[in-house]
Amino acid sequence: MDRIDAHPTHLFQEYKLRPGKPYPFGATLVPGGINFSVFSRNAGYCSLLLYRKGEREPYAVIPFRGLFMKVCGNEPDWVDFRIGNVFTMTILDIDHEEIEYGFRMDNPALQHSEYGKPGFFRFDPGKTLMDPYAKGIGGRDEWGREPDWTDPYWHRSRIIFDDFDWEGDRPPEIPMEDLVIYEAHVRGFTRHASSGVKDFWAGTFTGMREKIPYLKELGINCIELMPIYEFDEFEHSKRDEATGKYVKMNYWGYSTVGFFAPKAGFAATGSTGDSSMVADELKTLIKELHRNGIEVMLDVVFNHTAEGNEFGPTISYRGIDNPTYYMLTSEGYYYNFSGTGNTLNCNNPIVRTMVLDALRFWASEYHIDGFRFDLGSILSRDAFGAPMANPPLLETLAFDPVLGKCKLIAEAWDAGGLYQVGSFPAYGRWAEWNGKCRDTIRRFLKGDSGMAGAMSQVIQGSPNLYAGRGPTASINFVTCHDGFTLYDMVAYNGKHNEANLENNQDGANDNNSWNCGWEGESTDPTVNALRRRQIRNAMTMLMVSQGVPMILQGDEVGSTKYGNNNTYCHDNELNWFDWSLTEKNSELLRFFRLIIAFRHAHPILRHRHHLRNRDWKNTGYADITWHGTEAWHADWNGNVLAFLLNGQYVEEGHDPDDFIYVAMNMHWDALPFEVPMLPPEYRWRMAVNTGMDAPEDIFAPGEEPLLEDQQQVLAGGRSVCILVGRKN
Amino acid sequence: MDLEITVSLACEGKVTVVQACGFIDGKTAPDFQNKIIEVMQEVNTILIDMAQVGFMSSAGLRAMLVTHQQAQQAAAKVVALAGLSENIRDNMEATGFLPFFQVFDTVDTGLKELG
Repeated sequence: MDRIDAHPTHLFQEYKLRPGKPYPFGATLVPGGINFSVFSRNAGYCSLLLYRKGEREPYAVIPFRGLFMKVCGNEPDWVDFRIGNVFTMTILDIDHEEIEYGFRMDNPALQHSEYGKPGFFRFDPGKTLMDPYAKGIGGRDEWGREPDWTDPYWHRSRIIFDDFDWEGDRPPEIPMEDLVIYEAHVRGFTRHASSGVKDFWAGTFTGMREKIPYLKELGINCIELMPIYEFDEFEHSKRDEATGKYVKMNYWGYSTVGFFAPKAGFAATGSTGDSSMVADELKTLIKELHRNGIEVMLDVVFNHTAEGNEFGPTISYRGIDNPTYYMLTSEGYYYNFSGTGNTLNCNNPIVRTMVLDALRFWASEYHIDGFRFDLGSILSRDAFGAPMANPPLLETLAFDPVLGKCKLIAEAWDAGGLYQVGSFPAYGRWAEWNGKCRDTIRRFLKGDSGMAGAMSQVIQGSPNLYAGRGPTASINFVTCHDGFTLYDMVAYNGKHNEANLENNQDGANDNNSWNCGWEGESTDPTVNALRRRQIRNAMTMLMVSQGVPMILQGDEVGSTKYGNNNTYCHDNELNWFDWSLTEKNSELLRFFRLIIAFRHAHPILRHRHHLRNRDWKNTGYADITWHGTEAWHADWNGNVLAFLLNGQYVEEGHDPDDFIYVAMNMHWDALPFEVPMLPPEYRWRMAVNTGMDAPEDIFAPGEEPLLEDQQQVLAGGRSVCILVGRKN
Repeated sequence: MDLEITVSLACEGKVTVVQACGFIDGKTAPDFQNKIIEVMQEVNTILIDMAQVGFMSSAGLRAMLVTHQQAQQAAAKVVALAGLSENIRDNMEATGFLPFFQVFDTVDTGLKELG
């Protein structure tokens, strides 16, 4: 049956149109045409601009208010295609594949801010504005292809098909406590010549799809993608005048252009200029990851946009409604809690709705399983930057029905000094990147004395921080994209960021790293052996800790960035995964695979609730007990710690697990550890001994050899041993 | 650019070859889809010769998938592809459309297999 609203009511020049629908915002395919809808509270007028793909000038400029010809009667009619603060109309008979669109807004009654000067309104009738709800964005279609800098419309809104055939795909909904997260960069994962993927796929969503077997074999079950919202790799880029080559790019992508569109340059199909293909390519990756039992989490940047401060470009938001989208001082300067120039006004009701709409869109349209919020603490600030006790945005996300099964993870700090690790407003949902876990493991690892007590908290999932929230509130990590790689953490005492061309002033200084006796690459076998051991020690500590472990792409093969702890700007080997290391460091990769398998094999390591340090089931052993070189006597002031987990205390739904005993000797000399006595018929077996060379550094679950001396185990200097106690 | 569609019979009438020539995009995809579905009413096996297709947009990909799904719904009907350019094949693979189809390098190899 033909719909009434598939027919025009008015004509503007040769374009057929009718009043639009305000919801949903953005451009939506409707019978016979496209519905456009955009909010602005302060714009006095708005026009829709239609472009043929890639063309500099629009072929149509259609005002949302003015004199139109009525289709019935063919007479002029003054119409305001606006409902409240939403400009909306439906254009009929246009092919969405052939066009790009944008808006032009102004309000002559309001004082316009000059470029570089503070102010509240930044309307510019000379600018074409990208739709904040654009589902596809053109302009940077192929990674690194030099744009036409004179093009007046840089980031161009496009319309996509949203009818992907998911073939019954469902989010895996893996319990939080069972996750092992792998933080990865789409381009960096397969861009290196050694990746073995064909050129067309290198550095793309499809390249990553080709490597799913590797991820599966590694044993991770969640991949966290560094930003994949459309960003501009040329933002703050720097070119070497002599060679003409770019020496700095916005490689990591922590600077969002559009919150609803995937980064076209991460798609092999980006070069087609067909944003539907870009979306389909990403969905195909996600579908395939799900088929292999791997969840997909997005690292999302809602704390600021790519528009920068008073000196930044007008892309969209500031030209639509500057004081709505951004936090502004009373003088009209941009607050800068993000450290990048501006701060998104997240708790403004309009912006809050946009953030919610975006997340719902990614959860429903792309089947995304969770989100990690970059500088998440900004999301708890009010319009003037003050932290709120009950931030509406965080509460809204926590209780949202569409996001009901999504993991929500905060980077619980910002660049404005707000640090909320352990105190992020959680509403029973939010987890946090546990920066204190990172610092504690690093300090314990390098032998700082007095760390045993702090380390015992990490082992338990940081109940000192997350009492009442449980271990799953803690995303445990030793390394992430910010900071040293795991190898560099044991090879460098200080950062070496000269390649960033900022006089080594950028990047963190509190690395808590130790170079094992030599700064940088070493040919000394003793130094290198110690580094290998320390990497294994760190990974073991991470994998035996309650909470949710996260590892950084490349750490499993000993990737190095040569001491650079802030490689945000390098589109080169510093950031690209070198696949030849899977061969060169195959023993380390084997260790990673098996220690992850060890975690998966032992539910006693994966509690939803904090351990109680008591034998509340009356089994003869408390759920967790603490030891030193002498059983039952921990030295809380030293650099040695051992603990025993009682497998009877697994969460409901699991069969009883083994006893697990872990001895961590961060003293430089070997030490004998007296092992707690097991019940009759139980025997200790050696699962991990980082003091041994491969393959005796770790044994696959079920293949652990019997411990010769059932009373004690000798842990080498700076080594970790894991014993499993079972009947057979 | 327009799309020309030629229909012919091969393998003693067992396979219908639909030769497409031009672009399959938002403009031409509806007619293309309708033509294949029309042909499908009469025959069981369709081999689409794509060698002369210079470009296929996401609308074209969808037209292809819809015909495939319709063929699946009608028991024993097959829509296969032959002669895909490397570019179209890569795009189909990246976007996840390729695995739905039987794909042959050339019409001849397709006819040998299907005939």
